[in-house]
Amino acid sequence: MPNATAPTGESLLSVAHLSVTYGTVLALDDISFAIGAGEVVALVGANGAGKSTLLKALAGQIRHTGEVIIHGHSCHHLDRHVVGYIPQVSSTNHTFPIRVRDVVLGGRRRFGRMGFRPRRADLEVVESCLDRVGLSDLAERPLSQLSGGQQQRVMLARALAQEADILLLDEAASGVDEQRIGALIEAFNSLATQGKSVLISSHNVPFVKRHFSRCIGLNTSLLVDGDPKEVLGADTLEGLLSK
Amino acid sequence: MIELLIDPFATGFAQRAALVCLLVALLAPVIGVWIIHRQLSYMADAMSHSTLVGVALAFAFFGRGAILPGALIAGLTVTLIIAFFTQRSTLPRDAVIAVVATGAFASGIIALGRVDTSISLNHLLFGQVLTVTSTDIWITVVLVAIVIAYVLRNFRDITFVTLDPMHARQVGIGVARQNSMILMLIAMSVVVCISTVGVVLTVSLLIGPALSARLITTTIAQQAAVGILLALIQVFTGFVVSYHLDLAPGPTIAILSTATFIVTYVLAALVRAEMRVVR
Repeated sequence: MPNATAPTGESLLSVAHLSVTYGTVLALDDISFAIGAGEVVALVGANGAGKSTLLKALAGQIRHTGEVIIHGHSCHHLDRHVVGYIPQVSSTNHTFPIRVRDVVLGGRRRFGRMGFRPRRADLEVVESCLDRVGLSDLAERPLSQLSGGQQQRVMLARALAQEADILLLDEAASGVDEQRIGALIEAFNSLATQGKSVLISSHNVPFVKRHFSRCIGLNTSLLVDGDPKEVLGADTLEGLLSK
Repeated sequence: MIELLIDPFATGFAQRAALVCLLVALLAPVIGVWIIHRQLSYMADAMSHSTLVGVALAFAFFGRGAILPGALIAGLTVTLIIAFFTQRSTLPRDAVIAVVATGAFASGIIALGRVDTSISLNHLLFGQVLTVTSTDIWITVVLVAIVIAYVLRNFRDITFVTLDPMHARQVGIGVARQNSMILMLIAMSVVVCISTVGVVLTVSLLIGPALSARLITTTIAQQAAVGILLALIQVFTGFVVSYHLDLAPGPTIAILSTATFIVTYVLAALVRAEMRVVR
């Protein structure tokens, strides 16, 4: 299986001096990095290191200082449609009576207007996305009847249906079994070949070393940025995983 | 047997009441499903209790015809007050609702005592379906049409916001606007239900059929459709039973709503157990 891809050169996402504070607590301190179009990057750090906070800031869900530039525009002025974000603690109401197919259809809303009526093309994209995450046979099943891992894949299918330029996935692989991980990485690589970028957070270092060619290591501030096999050595891991 | 069903609707005022019951049965589950899944049941209850003060003041200043608009204004005002306190603090919403709605309800009782009115407190509290006027019917028709049209037109957006507000915001849905609209639609629905089952029992009609339907359906559209069917059965059975047994229609309908929920719950549990055995 090929590793997640290298950048094509053009910077799709740039982050400059980004900081986030919760009250008096500094959650992220002066983070700067860039991700190219077609790049799949892992975001590594211990629980509480600021991974989720960084993804939320990039998705425009929380206030931050510093600059987030996507497609050359500051994030505050950005059409958020270009960012697909799957949070670790989902705001999804998992008991809501809705079929899997209709959840994924939510990703197509960006292409519609008020009073959204899906077209045939939208439905075809939905079927394709369900197939990519291996949920075609569960499309008619109510969301509430799925396992945690399956629900996570539904959210991934919805993000894929959104056709976002940047996918921000918070621990998206944590509920997914080993067999499906391969399919997920394949889906990320396929997106990368279309010029999309993926930033996926994980605290699972072996997983990151096995599947990614670039990782960003975080512990409130940015500690490492590079090939996981090179930058995730014993010395840096101590700083990354201690909290 | 047929006479038993037809007799209650022989008079003009009973026919007007039946029309209002039909409209209420169509409306209540359409908005009730969102009340349930957005956990706004207590808010809906608070709104219905708060309308009493609007009813009393509207009657005092503008007469009988202003009762429903007065109720609507009071319901919306209390919703705004609750939103003001909950959005500007970390206070638990249910506690704020309890304090504000109780105050509004108490104000309504005092205002009603001071107003020279032919309407009894009991009618307002427990329903006055047999006294509805043509004006009430027209107001009900307009409110029902507005609520159902809005929900049908924005069905998917309301679904996406209720399912996952964070994602809904990302795909361009005005989440705050949808949330405000839902509260306004609930206030309108409360006003519609008041004429049938009264201030105290409104929430049973708004939520009961939709909740029973949830037990036997798997999608929100199915839930609303089955809820409408159950609501129709409940309001007309309640109307007929109350006529023959000389009971108040509002409480009779509310009791049927609760009974339907309990029976549906038991039947659904039995069916699930049976299916487990078959597997």
